[in-house]
Amino acid sequence: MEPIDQLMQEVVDTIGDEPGPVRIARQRRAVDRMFQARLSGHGRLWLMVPAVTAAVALLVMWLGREAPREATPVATLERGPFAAGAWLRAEHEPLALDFPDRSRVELAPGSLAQLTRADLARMQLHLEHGRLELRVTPGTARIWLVVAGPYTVEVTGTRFTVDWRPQARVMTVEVSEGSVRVRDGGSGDGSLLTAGQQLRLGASTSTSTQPPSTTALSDGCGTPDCPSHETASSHRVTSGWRELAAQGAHARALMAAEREGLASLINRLSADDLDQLAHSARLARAARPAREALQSLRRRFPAVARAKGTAFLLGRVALELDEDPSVAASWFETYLREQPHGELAEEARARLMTIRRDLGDRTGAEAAARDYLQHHPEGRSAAIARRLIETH
Amino acid sequence: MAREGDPRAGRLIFDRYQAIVNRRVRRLLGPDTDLDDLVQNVFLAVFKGLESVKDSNNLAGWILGVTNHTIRRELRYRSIRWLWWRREPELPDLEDGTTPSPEAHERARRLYAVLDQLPQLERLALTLKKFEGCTTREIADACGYSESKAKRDLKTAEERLARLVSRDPVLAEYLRSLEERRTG
Repeated sequence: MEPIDQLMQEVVDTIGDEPGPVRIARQRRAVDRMFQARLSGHGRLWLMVPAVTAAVALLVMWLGREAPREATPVATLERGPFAAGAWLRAEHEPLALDFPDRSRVELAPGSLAQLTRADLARMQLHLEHGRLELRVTPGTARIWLVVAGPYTVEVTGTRFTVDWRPQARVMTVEVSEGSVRVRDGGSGDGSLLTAGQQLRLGASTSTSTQPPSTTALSDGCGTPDCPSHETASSHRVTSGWRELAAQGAHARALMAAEREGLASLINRLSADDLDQLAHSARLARAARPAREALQSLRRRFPAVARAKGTAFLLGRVALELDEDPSVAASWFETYLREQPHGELAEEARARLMTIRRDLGDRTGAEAAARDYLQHHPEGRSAAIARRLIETH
Repeated sequence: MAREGDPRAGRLIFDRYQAIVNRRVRRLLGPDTDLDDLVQNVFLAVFKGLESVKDSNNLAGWILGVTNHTIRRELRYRSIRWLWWRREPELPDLEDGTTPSPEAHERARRLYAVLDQLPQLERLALTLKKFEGCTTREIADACGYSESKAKRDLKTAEERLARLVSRDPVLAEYLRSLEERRTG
């Protein structure tokens, strides 16, 4: 066997064939919930399949028809540094870009855009045609701009979609979270759009965009911020957050929960639902709702089995979403105080050990390593623990 | 059972096929904690597509096809995300039944980091062959192109992998030691 094949074989042996029983049990519960959700909406969902398929096909064809005929200098986004000036084309599948600050741009199939500026002060995308969804992480000083034809959408922390049809010269902006300001050329302050509102600019046709999902748009504008010219407020008629969560659509589930009123939900949901909401929020990488749901679970249902692992999960939220290892360490310590022999105790001790090591706390790391070995001498991180002690 | 709406069918399908799905997802993408979500997405797609399955005797093959498709999508997202932000795994998968040495774990981590640098279809083709022992025909099906293109991609991927591995000091040193052992 060639050395490189031997290396690959060894790697396969190292990673094993499947995750541990805790994770498989969690997968099983999630899959079971998804299947039950599909059964409960079985007839309706199967009836919708041809309609949704046809709608998506029509949308793709429609967007495809709009593609510029002239040779556009499009770079295929596979490799290499991605700098200002690069073109983004989503052909048959959505194209997603994740930025270091967790902002995300997703181009719908058949769309073309160019990143015209990318620096610390400003990110600017020029949407040639098609549809893009932008989720900007709030709290950074960077300005995000989306330019579509003569229109500019300015954003500081939000989630929204822009749909630009150059032939009809129609732009539609739909805001899911936060707010954006839309300018027509350089004129005035533009129109402020807030969550739930839609703005269409450029043509007076009644054609409305219909996202390829279970959402529907209705006419009418009921908020003071609704711009007066050619606008329509959108009130999404969506599935409930539980159903979406059960289907694995965690980001949409969270959005649905936010529309229902997150604060209210967190104060009245059952323990199971809080656990599910926290799970969806974690997978949607939304730290605050995940943290609030978990803390509510701890506070309101201290005796329920599901609440027993919340300190550990709060540690993971702090570590993975907030990237705050010190807070994470204090939650893992809390978990170990509450559940010294819990099913996640070994993982909590291992994480505590590596957090302290990574924070440069050599004494703390060594103490954590000794504690780990005392409780789990044959544990999966025993080798790391021994190495930590030896190198101290 | 599933077509008749039996509520037990979902769990039965999961219990019967989770091992092959987990194995393929894990081997092709590496032991990352995010993979649970991906496995759930595979089963969601399986439940959605069950009505269209014609040959129920080959359900495993069909489910692996769905898994390949899901992995392909994931690789596409990763290939873009990679340009901006690479998240280093913090720990070995602590829920594993395996106890790899720190050195073996480090080599695994580095090999997947190298695989992350391959174009998505080349990576898919290479890992299907090397980790899963798939035939060229199966690889062509999974990648959505011809067998001749699969062969070309595999050759290119192997050459590219060798180049990238030689640039990684830990992997290159390990390969040298394996070579020395082999030649005595």
